[in-house]
Parts: sequence; C-alpha cells; structure tokens
Amino acid sequence: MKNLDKILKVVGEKINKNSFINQTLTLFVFIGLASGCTETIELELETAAKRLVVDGNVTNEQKMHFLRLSESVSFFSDSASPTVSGAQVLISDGINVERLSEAQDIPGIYYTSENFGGVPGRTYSLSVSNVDIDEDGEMEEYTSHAPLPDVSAPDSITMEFDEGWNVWKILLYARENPETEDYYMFRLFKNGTLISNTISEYSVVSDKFFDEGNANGIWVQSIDAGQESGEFEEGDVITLQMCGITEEYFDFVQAVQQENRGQYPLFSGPPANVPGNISNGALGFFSAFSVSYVSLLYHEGEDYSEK
Amino acid sequence: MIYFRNIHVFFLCCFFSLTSRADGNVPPGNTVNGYVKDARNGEMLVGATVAIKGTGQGTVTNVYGFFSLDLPVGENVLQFGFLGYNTFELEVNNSRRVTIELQPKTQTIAEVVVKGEGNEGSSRFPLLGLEKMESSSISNIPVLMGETDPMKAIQMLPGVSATSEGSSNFTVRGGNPDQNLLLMDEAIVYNAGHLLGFFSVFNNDAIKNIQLYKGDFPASEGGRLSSVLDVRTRDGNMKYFEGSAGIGLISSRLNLEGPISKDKASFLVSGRRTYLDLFLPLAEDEEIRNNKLYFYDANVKINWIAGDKDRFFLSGYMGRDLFKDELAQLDFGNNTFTFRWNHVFSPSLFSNFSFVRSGYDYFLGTSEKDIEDMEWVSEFNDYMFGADFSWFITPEHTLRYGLRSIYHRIDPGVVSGMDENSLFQEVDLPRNNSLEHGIYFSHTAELSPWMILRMGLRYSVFQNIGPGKSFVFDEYYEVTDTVEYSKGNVYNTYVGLEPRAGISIFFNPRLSGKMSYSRTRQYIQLASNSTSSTPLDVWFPSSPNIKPQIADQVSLGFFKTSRNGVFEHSLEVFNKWMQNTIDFKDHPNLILNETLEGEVRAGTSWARGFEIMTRWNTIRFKGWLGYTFLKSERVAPEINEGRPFLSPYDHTHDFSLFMNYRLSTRVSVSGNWVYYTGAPVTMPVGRYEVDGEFIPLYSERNAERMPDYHRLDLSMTIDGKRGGQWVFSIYNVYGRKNPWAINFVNEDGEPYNIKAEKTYLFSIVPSISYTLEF
Repeated sequence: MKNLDKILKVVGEKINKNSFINQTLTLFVFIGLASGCTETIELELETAAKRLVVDGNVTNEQKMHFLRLSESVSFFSDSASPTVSGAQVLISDGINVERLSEAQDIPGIYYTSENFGGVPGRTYSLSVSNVDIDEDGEMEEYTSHAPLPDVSAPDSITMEFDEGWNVWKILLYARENPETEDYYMFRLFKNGTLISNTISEYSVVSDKFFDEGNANGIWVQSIDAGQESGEFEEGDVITLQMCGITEEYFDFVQAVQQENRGQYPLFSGPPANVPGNISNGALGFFSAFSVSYVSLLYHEGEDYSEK
Repeated sequence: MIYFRNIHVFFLCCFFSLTSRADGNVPPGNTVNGYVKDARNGEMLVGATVAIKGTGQGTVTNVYGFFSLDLPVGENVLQFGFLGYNTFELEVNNSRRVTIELQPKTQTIAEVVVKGEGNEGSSRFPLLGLEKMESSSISNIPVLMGETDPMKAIQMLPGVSATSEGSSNFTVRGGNPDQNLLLMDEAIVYNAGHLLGFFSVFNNDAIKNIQLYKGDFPASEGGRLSSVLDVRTRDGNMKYFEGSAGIGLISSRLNLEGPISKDKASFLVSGRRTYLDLFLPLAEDEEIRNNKLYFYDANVKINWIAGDKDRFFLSGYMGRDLFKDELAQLDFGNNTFTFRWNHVFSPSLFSNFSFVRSGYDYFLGTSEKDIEDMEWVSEFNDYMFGADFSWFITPEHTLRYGLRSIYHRIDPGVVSGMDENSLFQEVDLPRNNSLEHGIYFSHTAELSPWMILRMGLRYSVFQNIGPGKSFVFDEYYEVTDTVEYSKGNVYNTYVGLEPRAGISIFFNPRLSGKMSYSRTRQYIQLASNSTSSTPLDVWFPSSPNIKPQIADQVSLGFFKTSRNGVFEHSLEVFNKWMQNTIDFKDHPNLILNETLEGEVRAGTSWARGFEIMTRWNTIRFKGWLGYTFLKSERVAPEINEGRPFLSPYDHTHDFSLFMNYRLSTRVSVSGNWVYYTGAPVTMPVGRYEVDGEFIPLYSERNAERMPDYHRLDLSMTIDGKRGGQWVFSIYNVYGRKNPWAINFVNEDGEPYNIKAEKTYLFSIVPSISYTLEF
C-alpha cells in the first residue's frame, strides 16, 4: 500500500483530463454525430445564511503570522467576500496567549507579533470573539484547535521535463519516520515567490507514499510548462517547501481540490461540503504545520529530460 | 459449510418427495404436454397461450416454450395462440406429448408485434410489474445512432428511466442501477455497457425476448432489490440456414443461424464490431491517428433436442472494449458461458439444470513502458449451478421449486509497475470469496375461475469464505483490528426468508385486479456514488461490516382491455421500504481502497408512486403511453446530518410515448417522446474564500434539481424488395440541449464573474443503417 496515493494521483489525473470521455466524444464528433458542447445557462440558486470564514495558520517559523476573517456570500456574488472587522482574535499554545491585531489599512486581516512562531508537538487554539455574523445583536464566539506536527528536512530535489504531460516534475529525495502515520504538503517557490498559490496547486500526500520512510526521487510537485512560471532562465532558484500537516488538514485540502475539479457524472459522486475545523458553524480552516525547504539551481545547459 | 450441506439435504428431500409423488399420483383425465414453436424457423415461443376451448381454462408456455395441461375427462379442443401468429386448434382425447408449430400471420406483421400483458393467458398470471418485449418490437424504437438496444427499449416503460443522457444503464422506481439483476441466458451480467455505457452488451440480433420484473419477483429470482431483467437469446433456426448482415454508423453486424440437424439441433452465431476506428488513420491530428477505440461482441448458441424428454443448450457471450491514446489504455469486457439441460421427468414435471460461468474484468494502464508506468487489473468471476422444477399437478395447481448456488470470486484490483525499476510497489487488494444460495418454492393455485393465488418462499443464504481479511472498525470508521481467515473457513453467514405472494381477481373478462407483496435481499453491490456507469466497477459483498440490503414491496394494480383487445390499460400503485441500503460518506475513496467498507454509511430508503400505461395494437398503428409518478427518498444517520434526502433517480413525473405507424406493407414510421423531471442534485448555495481559493458551500444533499429532460426521436423503416432493410432515424429531433453535467466557471479570468455552464452530449443526431437478410 506504499504508493497507493501516487497511483491514485496518476489515475486521478488521467480521469481529470477526461481523456476517455474526450476520446469517445471526439470520435462521435469526428463522424458528425455528437455536438457535445458546453453552454452558459441561467440557474437560480438559493442563498444560505452568511457564516464566518476563518483562514489562517501557525507555522514553526518565527515571523508575522496572518489570519483573515470574512463572511460567506451568495454563490454568484460578483464581489469579494466582505471582511469581518473588530474581532478579538487570540492564539494560545496552552502556555502563552498571543493576541492578534487588526491591520489598519486592510480590514479583516489580523496579525501576530514578528517573533511569533509555533513549536512542533504543541496544540494551538484559536479563539475569535466579539463578532456578530448572524446580526441578531448578540456576539458570537468561535474556537478551533490545531496540533502542530513535526517535519524532517528533505535531502534534495531534482527536476525533469515530461513531454507527455507538458510539465516540469519536481522529484524528492527524503527520509522520514516509517513508524508514525504522517501527512505532508508540498508547495513551490520560484526565486522566493510562492508559485503554488492556491489550494488546488498544493500537493498533499500521506507517508504511504514513501517506501519504508524513503523517498528516492518521487514526483511530488509539478510546474506547468505552458505557464509563465514554467519558463526558466539561467540561475533561477526553485525551492520546495515540505510541510508536516495533520490528517485533518490533509482531508480539507483534498476535499477542496476534489470540489474544484468539476463535476462529471461518469466519475463524480454528489458534491459535498468541505470539512472544516472551526466550531459554531464557521467555515474555513485554522491549520498548524512545520516547514522545511530544499532548493535547486536551474542551469541552461543541463539535461532535464526524463531519465 | 454446514449451511450448505443442510440446504442440499433439504433440497434433495423436497426433490425426491415431489418427483415420486409426481410419478406415482397421476390425476384423472388426460395430460397434454409439449412445446409450442414458430413454424417458420422452429424457434420456441415463450408465453404462448394454451386454452381449453369453451372453458376459459388454460396455461402459457414457459421460457423454454414448454407447457403441461391436465384436461377434464372426455374430448377436448385445445387452442394454441401467440400474438401475431395464427391460432391452432387440436382435438385431444388421450394423454400425449405434442409439438405445435404456429404459422406467423404474415411475415411483415409479425415483425411489428408489441406483445402486451393483455394476452389472455399471461394476464392470468398474478405477477405485478412484469414487462415483456420481443426483439422485433425492440428494433422499432428509434435510438441513439441507430444502434438497436434492448436496454434503451425498456427505458421507455413506466417506472424505468435512463440513469443519464444517452446511457443504456437504467433505474427502476428510484433504485440504484446496481439493484437491477441483468441476466443473459441465466448468466449475471455485471457491467452491461459498451463505449462508456452509451450502448449495451445485449445484441438485439441474438435476442429472443426480454422480461423485466419491477420488484415483484417470482420466488425463483432474487439477489437484487429493484428489478430483474431476464434476457433470453434465440435458439437458431431449426429449419433452414439464414443470416443477416447490417451496417450502421457505429457498428457492423453479422448474424448466422441454421440447423445442424433439421428439427433436432441448431446453431446461432451473432457478432458486432464498431468499425469507425478504421478511419482514424485518416485524421489530420497525429495524436488521434494512433488512438484506438472500438468494441466488439459475439454471441454463440447451440441447442440440441436429444429426444422427447431432453433438450440441451450451450450459449456463450464474449465482448470487449478498448480505448488507447498516447497516455493511457483501458480495456474491459464481459464473458458468459451457460450450459442448460431441460428434462421432462413426467408429463407434468419439467426441469431445467444450469451451469453458468460469468465474468467481468478490466485493465487500465499507461501506454508506454517506463518506470512511472503501471497497470491495473481487476476481475470478477461467478460460477453458478441451478436446478429448477415445474410441476403441473392439475390445471389449477402448479408448483415451482429449485435451488441456485453461486460462487463469487472478486479480485478488486492489482496495480503493478510495468518496469523492473518501477517507482510503484505492487498494490494487491485481497481476493474476496463468497457463496450465495437460494432455495425456493412457489405454488400457483387457481382457487376459482375468478381468482388465482400465488404463494412463494425463497430462503437465501450468503457466506463469506476464506481466505480473506476482515476489518474491525470503531465508531469513527477507523480500522482497529484486522482478522485473517484461512482457506475454506466460512467466517460470516447471513440467512433470510424472502416471502412472495400475489393474488389476481378477474372481475370480468376485460377487467382484472392484482395485489402482491415481495421481500428481496441483496448481498452484493457496486461501490459507486456516481449516476453514470464507468468501466472501473468495484463490486463488494455483504460481510461482517456490511449487512444485506432488504426490500419489502407491496403493489396493487388494475388491468383493463377495451375495443376487443385493441387497447390495454393498466394502473399500478407501489410502495417499497428498504433497509441497510448502501450509501457513501462525503468525499469517499472508492478506488483501490482495501478498507472500502469504512466508507459505507448504510441507511434506509423508501419509494412510492404509481404507473399508468395505455397500449394500443392494430395492424397499422401501435404504441403506448406511459406515465410514472415517483417519490424516492433515503435517510442515513451520517449523511446530510441525518435528514432525509431524495434518491438521485427521483424523477417525479416521467412520461413516455411510443408510436409506430405502418404506411404501407414496406414502410413504417416510429416516434418516441420522453419527458422526466430533472434529477435531484446538490447545488452550491454560497461561496467562501480560503488561501486564495473559492470554496462552494452546498445545499443539503440532492435538494436542487437539474433542468427537466425531454427529447423526441423519429425513425423510418423501409423494407426493400429483395430482403434488405433501411432504417433512417433522428435522435433528439428538436435539438433539446439536455444537460449531462453542470459546472461553474470563471468568465474571462474575472475572479468574481462566475457562470453556470452545462455540458450536453447530443443535439440532433441523424443516423442510417442497412440490414441485408439472406
């Protein structure tokens, strides 16, 4: 069962590409039988009562940490989610309590002090109060608890170009503890800028992915060669961030990715709400994870073809 | 194995006591038995009526064309009839065996027969929700791309609809598609789709007739909650050699049949293959040129009349689909093999013994062989033995009893790398073995000329046998323990009684009423929460964690004929309760998951509604109009926060209209129109943003609906003078863009401009096919 996730990923991507459906339909279109097409339709949807949305995390890096509070909106709303100001936001690790301040110029963004950092092994508790989302005149309180797992530093990464998929594949060499059940998230930076910048571009795996705790060049992240970030120059630095995450956050990321993949009756079941970890009916996620980094330098003359 | 042994003992006791009584206790009067055949090709006629003239008493032939009838003392005249055939009368004054050959009225009329329940003999059989169709009437229904398909034909019947646009898969009374038992010559077909389900594996050229039981099953059938589709293949012409060849837009077909020994043995070979991939090399795009996409299938049947008492049948099916492009390859298919022996023990005791093997397997792999490539194979095999006895004790009393045992062997999946240095370690989900037995007994009693009673009882047994693995789950569905079982160890057994009962009352010769109750149990199900069929099926059985699904259904119906039998009207009301029905948690992992059972969230379901149907049948003009009202709901404690939700197949209103009009002896036109309420779906009712990504907030499960579905199809059939036949058809004549899927997209990269977008598969689809008979 070591690499089930890997297989599922490969199969999932094939299914995502809908290559079989496309091929069948291509054949039908080829002979002029199907006009399988898409078309915009008017759809009247109900709107659910608005709810608080929490988006924030604690990592083991000492830095200013941010947390965003907003409200849910109707599905077809043509504007950004309204932010929630004036809340009291506290993060506690059971020993110290950090009080977050709201940014003056960006309402809804709350920040910690610059020397705030999490410690692996501790559990971080979030408390949000002094907000009235349902506008009933009574203040509500929301809480969340997130344990901060540890992560081991990766040894190295390599990069390969895959013609079939037209992607740059990032391959990881690392070791981890095979005794424990661990979950990882991978994100990419190019020259210090995060390029996996939405949840759909995060890559999450369980350690079943590792062979007895060893990763010997496994494919963990990709850069689309068709995008701007897929064009490299001499000296570009590609950095892989490896995060130790909880199973709960792993499930959350997977669910978001599944929901935003598109619904086709051949392969999808009924859509479902993404599971969060905030109390009192609030949406979103408060996560805690530890991070480590490994980089490589791009050289123009080097052979990046598949080995 | 104790249960298994007990059943054999019980069964053998029943068998000997009944057979000895059948032999030794001949009632007074004469017994006539035998077969009713088509005079033209010797094909057995199923459901032909045998009536004692002037008494209103009689019987119908069984699925092998056999009947047995006890006559009152003295001289009697027997009338043999079958819709579209000339009636035949025979004077009988002693016990004898007969073989009756009925002449088709005229060949052209015989081809457009739509056989109804109103056929006098069959309406006397107290089974509700039974629909029959002859292959000749199936071929009159206009279909997608002109590919005649029995599964598409039954979707036109009340209570039955397609699971999604263009699919040959169907749902009965709001049930899941895996609750339909699909039988081809008694072999269970586990995946009936070709080309992603747009066409079915049933080749109409090889089919004699189909029967669909919508929940009120005879005691001999079991194992599924919603329906039994019994497909019987033709035996092959006993009189002379004949064949047909056809070509359509999708496939070309060839059917050959004829006597091996005249009136003694015959064969039938029927095959299809799509041929469009032959044109792929002409494509401009190089990627398309190397693609592969085709399916083929073949039916073979041999039957031999070994004497007055014995008849043997050997039939097989083999089909395969293949898709291949530069990235991946997928192929899958069914194969079945059936051996049957009909033996007439005595004039009033008919028996059938069957040995059946059926299998389904698929392969998914990457096209090239390098270290990242892998292949995934999965296989499902069934071995079945069945014995079935019909004892025609007196004209008023018929007993049917027997046994069926199936060994299921499921290999859910083996995934392995194709290269020595593969990055993949092998994933091998353990093989799953189980046994499913049913013994059954049913008694049909004509209590008076106006009342027939049917009482049946089925005792089903399901056993998981080792080698196997069973998981113990805690309340959070986390595995807390794994138990391994050794080979042959029966580690779990479920048993249950399945009573079936029905009563028919004849108010007058034109009006009858029927009422029935049935309980069914289902021990094997599909791990799928999608409304479309995919080739990557995973069937999983009941086990210590998964209880058998149970359904109880009561129905009440009225049947009326008018205008001397031209019109048949029926009204049927049903109510169905189901326990332990299978559903899955949100975002389940159903693929290659060894602990799949941890994803199941069982609940209860119910369905209620009524079906109205009017059929008419004159020489020139025939058709039917059906309407179904349905409400089908489910509830499971851990789904939708425990609140009831609609079945994804809850089509509140469902109309279907079929008409066939004969313009001349050579030209006929057909049309059908279907309409149903859009399927319940889960839709977003809000949106929120986390880490730069929009996340939809959903309604309760299946709380919204897709737009209503409707479509009109037309076809014209022209019989050529020299035995050829042209069929022109148009699918979706007015080009309704019925949505297959609804997705939400950002327009022009504007993050806050979200639009709903529907994907539709087929607008107007014209097609043409030609069949040559020789």
